[in-house]
Formats: sequence, C-alpha cells, structure tokens
Amino acid sequence: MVESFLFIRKTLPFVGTTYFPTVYKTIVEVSFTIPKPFFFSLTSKVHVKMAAPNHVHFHDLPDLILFNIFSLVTDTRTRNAISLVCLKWHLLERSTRSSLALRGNIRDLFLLPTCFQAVTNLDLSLLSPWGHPLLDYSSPNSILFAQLIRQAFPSVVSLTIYARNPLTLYLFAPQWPNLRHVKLKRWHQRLSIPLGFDFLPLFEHCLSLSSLDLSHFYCWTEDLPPALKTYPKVAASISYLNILITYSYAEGYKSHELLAITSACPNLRQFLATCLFDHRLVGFVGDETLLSLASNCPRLSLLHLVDATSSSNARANPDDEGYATEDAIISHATLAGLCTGLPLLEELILDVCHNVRDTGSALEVLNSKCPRLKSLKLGHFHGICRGINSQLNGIALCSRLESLSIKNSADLTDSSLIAISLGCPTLTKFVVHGCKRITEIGFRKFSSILKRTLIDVKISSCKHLNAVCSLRALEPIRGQIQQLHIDCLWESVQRFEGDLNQIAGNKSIQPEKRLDNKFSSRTWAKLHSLSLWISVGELLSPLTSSVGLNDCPVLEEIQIRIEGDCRQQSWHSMHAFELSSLECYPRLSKMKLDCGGTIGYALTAPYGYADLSMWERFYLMGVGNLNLTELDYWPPQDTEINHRALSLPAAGLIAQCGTLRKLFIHGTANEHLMMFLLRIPTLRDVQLREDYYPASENDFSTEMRVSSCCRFEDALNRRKIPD
Amino acid sequence: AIQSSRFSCVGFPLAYIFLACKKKSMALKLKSSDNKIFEVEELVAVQSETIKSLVEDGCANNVIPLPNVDSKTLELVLDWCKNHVDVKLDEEKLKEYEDKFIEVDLAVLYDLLMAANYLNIKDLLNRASQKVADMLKGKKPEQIRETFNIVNDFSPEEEEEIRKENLWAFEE
Repeated sequence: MVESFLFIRKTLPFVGTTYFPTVYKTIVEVSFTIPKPFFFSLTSKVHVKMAAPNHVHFHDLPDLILFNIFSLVTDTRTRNAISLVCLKWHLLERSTRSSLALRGNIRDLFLLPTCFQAVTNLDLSLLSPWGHPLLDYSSPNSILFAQLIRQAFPSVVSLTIYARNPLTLYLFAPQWPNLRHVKLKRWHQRLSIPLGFDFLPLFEHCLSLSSLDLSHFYCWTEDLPPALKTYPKVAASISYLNILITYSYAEGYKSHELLAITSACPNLRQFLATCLFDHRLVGFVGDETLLSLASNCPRLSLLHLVDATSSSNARANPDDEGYATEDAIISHATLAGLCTGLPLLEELILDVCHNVRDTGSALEVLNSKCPRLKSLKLGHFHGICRGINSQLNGIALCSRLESLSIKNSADLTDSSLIAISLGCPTLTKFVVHGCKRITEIGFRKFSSILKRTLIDVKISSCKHLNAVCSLRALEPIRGQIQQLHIDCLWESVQRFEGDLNQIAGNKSIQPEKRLDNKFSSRTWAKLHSLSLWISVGELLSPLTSSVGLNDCPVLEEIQIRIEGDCRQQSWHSMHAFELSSLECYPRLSKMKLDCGGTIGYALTAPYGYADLSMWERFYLMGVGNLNLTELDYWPPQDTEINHRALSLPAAGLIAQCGTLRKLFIHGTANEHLMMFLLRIPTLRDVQLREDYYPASENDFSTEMRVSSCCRFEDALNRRKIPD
Repeated sequence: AIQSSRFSCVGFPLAYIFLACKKKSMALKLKSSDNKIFEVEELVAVQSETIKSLVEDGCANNVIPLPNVDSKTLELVLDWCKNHVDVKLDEEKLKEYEDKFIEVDLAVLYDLLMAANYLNIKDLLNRASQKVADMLKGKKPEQIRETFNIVNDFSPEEEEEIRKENLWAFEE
C-alpha cells in the first residue's frame, strides 16, 4: 500500500501533500474500520478535545510521514507500545517492522500470527526451550510447519537460526531462496555426519548468499572447505565470512583450510577467522599463507586473523617482560606484501600471540599502501613505534586511524604513546592490553592530546595502570568519555602512590593535580557504559568509595567479568561482593555479571560441602537494591565445567530484583527455582541459555527439561505484563 | 565523432557560464498561506525539491505561492535552509544548530513536518521525524496517546489480540 502511495507522490509532484493523505486514509478506513457504536467514539473524542483543547492531532499526519517516523524506531518495546496506540498506528507499525527476534515456545509455533509480513531480518535462534531442535522431524507435519513460518515472514533476507542438526536447514533453507545474510548458531555437539553436511542445504537453495556468520556455530574446521567447493557459485557470491571460533579455546583453522576457503570465495570483502600462528603446530599460518591469502581475496576491506590461544592466555604473568616464548614466522617483507596486496583495507586485526618483532617499518608501508585504513588491532607486535625522540615513525604515521588496539606490545613506552597521540589526531577508540611499560604519566599525556576525539578507552592487564592510575590518566577526557574498561586492581593503590611521588620528582607533573583527593566531586558526564575486570574474591566497593568513579549521572550499562584462580584461596568470612555499592549510579539499568571465568571454585568449598552456592550468594548479595531491568548472569563455575546451574540462594536473590524485565541465565536451573522468579512483577523475557560448548545433551537430573520449561513459560505468560 | 567532440569543446564553457550565472542568480519570492512574501536567495530555496523543480521548469519568475505553509513555519524552514546552504560548515556546529532548532513544541513540530514534507526537504524531514521518534521512545501507549492527542479506537478484544501478537517479539 505504501508503495502505491509513493507512486502517487512521484506522479503528482505538485499536487501538494495534503491531497493524498485523504485518498490513503479512505482506503485505510474502508478496509480496516471495525464496526463500533457511533456514539461511543464520538463521546470519547469530545472528551479528549476538552481535555487538551489547543493540541494538534498527530493522528492527521500523512501516512508517509508517520511511515518515516516509525521506520526510525528500532527499539522493540517502543514499537510494541506504538502498535497499541490506535488502529492506524498499529497498521503502520506492522508495515515498518523489519526486524524481529521471535519469542515463544516451539510447541506454539502453529499459533504464529501473520501480522509481521514486513520482517526482513528474522532471528529464530531464541525460541524456547533454548537450543532444542526447531521441529519434530519424525512427524510428517514438519514441512508444513516450515511453510507456516515462511507464510508468517515471507520477506526474510537475513536469518539467524539455531541449527542443532542439518535437518533444520534442510527444511528452512528452501523456504527463503532469496536469503542473503545467514547466521548459524549451535553450542551442542556435531552429529556424526560426513564433512560439510551441515551447510549443504543452505548452499543448495540460497544462491544469492552474501554473508555467512559461523562464529557461534560449533563444527569442525574441516567442514566448510568441501561444502564451498561443492557449490562454487554460492562461494563466489559470499562477501562476508565469519569463521571466528568462540566455542573452544584450542581450535583454529589450519593454513590449508584457510587457503581452500579463500580460493573458493574470491569476492570476499570481509573475512574473520581464528587460526594458528604457532610454528610448532601442523597447519600454522606464516609468511606464505598470509601472502596467498592476500592474492586469493585482493578486495578485502576487513581482515581479522586471531590466534586460537588469544582468549585463553589473556592474562599472563604480570612480572614477565611481555614477550611470548616463541616467535611467529611473519617477516617484515610479508607484512609489507600483505599491505600492498590489500589496498582496500579499512580494518586490520592481527592478534598473533607469538612475537612479531621490529614492525615499525612494515606499519609505515601499511599507512602508505592502505589509504582507507581506519581501524587497527595488533597482538604481540613489538617495536611498533620508537617514541618521540626522533621523527614520527611506525604506527604514529597512520594518521587516519580512528580505532587502535594494542595488545601485548612489550616495548611500548610512554614516549611511544605520546607519539601515537600526536600522529593519530582522529582516534576515537583506544584499547591497550598487557603493555607492561606504559604508566600513568604517558597515558595522561596521551589522553590530554586526544581530548577532542577520544570517547572509548579500554585499559586492561597493564602492570602500571591499576584502577586509580587508569582513572587519573583519563582525567583530561573525563567529561566526554562514553565507554570505559578498567581492571579493578585495588591492592597496590597505596604502594603506587609512593612510587608516583618518586617518578614525579623526575618528570614534570603538577603535584596538586596528582595528589588531591577530590575525586568524589568529579563527574563523568557522558559515561554510559562501563566494563570491569575483577579478580576472584576481590570486593567491588572501592570502585565507588575510593577510586573516584562514583559520579556517573548517565551510566546505564555495566559489565563485570570475574576471573582468576582461587585454588590457593581459602574461603574466608567475606560477607558480600557488594554489588549494592553500584546504587550510586542513578541510571544503571543493565548488567552483565560473568562469574564463569575462574579456576578452582570447587576446591574452595568448605569441608563437607560440595556445592558452590556460597559463591553465588557472595556475588549476588544486594542485587535487589539496584533498579535493574536487564540482567545477564553467568553462574560461578570453573571454565572447564559444562554443567552450570543456578543454586537456591541465587534464585532467591535474583527474585528480589523487583524491576527486572529481561533475565538471561547462561546455564541451567531446576524448575522449582525458576518458579521463584515469577515473584518479579515486571519480568517478561526469561531464558536459560547453555551457550558454551558442549551444551548438555540430555542431562535429565538437573537440566530444565522441556516440560518444565513449558510450565514455567506458561506461568510467566499468564501474568499481565505491563507494557 | 569529430563533430561531437568539437561540440562538447564549445559547449562546456558555455554551460559553465550559464550555470555560474544561475548560481549567482536573483532572489526568489515565496508567498505563504497568510499572504506574507519572503525574499530568499535561490540557493537557499532550492533545497526544497518542490521549489527546485519549479525553478527548473521556469515557473519561478513571479511570486511562488505556497498555500500549505503559514508564515511562521516558513520563516523557520527558511532559517534551516540558510544554515544548510554551506555544506562545508563545521559538522559539530551544524549538529548543535539542528539540536537547538528542533527543540520546539509539538504544534510547531507538526507544522514543520507538514511543511518539510510538502516542500520536500529531506534533511529537515528526517531530523523532525527523528525528533518524534525520540519522543516516542520508552513511552507507554497511554502516554503516547496523551502526548500526541490520539484517540484509542480499539475494542478491548482487539487490544488484547495485539498484546498477544507483541508477545512474539523479544525485546532485544
């Protein structure tokens, strides 16, 4: 209808807008007015007019304008509210809704409404019970069901789906032959089927596939190359391929697999992959592979190669020098060749995890050969910049960079930081991880030089930048920084202030600025997202009481990751993690609390106790005092353990969050514990997600079974949820 | 082939002069619905696609009547156009100006939307639409109806039906 409307507008350019709304409106009214007592609507209108006599009636706005306005609304909750305003708005809202993450139980799919015809971007991966096969394949009705979903969403071009087995795609891929963007998800084990069978139905039916995201899809690295080889036309049409491995800490694509994939997909523009840079392993990526990769896909604008061990050894020993034990087989000539071969690069990520030394000159080539480069991330690249003593050099010559991330660069000094800030005047985002030689003085200078642009900073695992130092270093951009990550390292605060006095004696830093303790009155005016890393067993309270991060008027989102090794710690009488100290952030509404990154929780249990519920009590105590609306929670369990369940204290404490609307628990729970959550009056979306590999197949003793999940959801949906 | 190339050699400077003359050209006269006449430079006025096509068709010699726009709104719209003539203007300043410009009450916003739509000025229409979209954000249906003065024409059953439909969407 809107198309024809636009058509009228094009054909009658001078008629003036006021004419066609009337035309359109009559159409709407003819087809959609529902009979209703006349006097009723009349009286209600009169009433409203009396209440607000001089107001404009937005109801009279031409539909084209409303259509424009609604298209700009992306937030689902607002959209739901709009659809409930009046008949006309309902219709227009549905015709502009282009994106939908389907909520509901697989069992109820036959009730699916057909009002979401305009949806082009559909996410089917969140249906509950989470991770279960979408359809019952033994039943002859499964094809009918797939067609039903197609009828409900006929215009889908972008699909996200949990493909637990190949049959899912076998049924769904034929429904939308025009699919262009596909993201597959699977945390469950791969069935024992021939290589590549998971992808064949997709490639067979969706000939115009242009992007494929497998970063959350568990499969073998051997799976993809033969499937691409079987369908060379589809492979050639793919321009975005994401094969990062997020489900495992050890695997990576081997050199020959990467080459097979890139030679099958010569038109790749964006390529993201996890690989092996360790030359002691079979199939490592070195000089030859990098160069052939560049010649296979010369039009890449994004190249993202990360070593398989990158996330597991994130925090190495803080006292070593910062060099890895082995060197990668990547020479200057190769790096220069890579840059020359990929002139369209806009974003380059090489997270190598093995030393790449003296890279300054290669980075200068990068600057001259890749004029569009805006974003750069380097891991274990040493010698990237020699500092400000000589002319600007190395990475400091890449003057167009907007985002820079430096990880484990052993010889990055304060002087290099200052050179970078002088050489890259448009940096908006800066991430530094594991650089042992930079200090507060250099970083402070860095942020004061970049104070016009810098709004997103992450500082982690840097020996000389604990919480206090990091925040002091960011003082020049305090009023404008929007996103921040710091490590919650408190214990060395006192000692470090002493050190700093000595350093300040040599270098020139004004003592009154450094030592005053007026942090309490300092406002972080635009900070809306804060991410924290904290060692297991540490408390959170110093964050707001003593490091000067207590005044953040617009902080909405907080992300806390707890890591460490507690095998040596004994369980002492700590009362609570003190989440309630976050009460001082008035706008805080979303929290991600990830306690799943530790080793040795189980060994800290007191004698005679096997369960870890005390850890949950420790971390969650006081969560009810925060006015959270969204909570993502990873229960405390060792990284290696794949059965993660909510305990009784955790369920009780979460149930005290009276304003919670969305709750995602990354683990399982018993039915009776889930029923606790029904006490929260505003709760709408709850899900148990086992998004770690391998998700439990059929753990009947504790897993939320299909039937209990249904019972819980029925109970949840029976309540009237406020809009 | 030779002829055509010669033609373009001669044609190019001519066209260029023609264009240059046109760019400098005279002020246009716009008449609002309440018969006020506004004189503006052509460069300012042609940001409106509607006026631009009139000018291109040569219908702009006399006063251009704009019967759907009153003088108060037209003044605002022309102010917007004047500030958007110079594309090279500092982006930050322009944003600041736009934010200030759009801080108006609902009645004016409504008029601006109508005028921007009628005159076909894309960036103004988008900015004003964005403003309305921002106003909608986070509101409940009753609050929206109250703000925008809209009558609820659903029957309770219809409303219940739509609530049920809405439950099919995750709030992500």
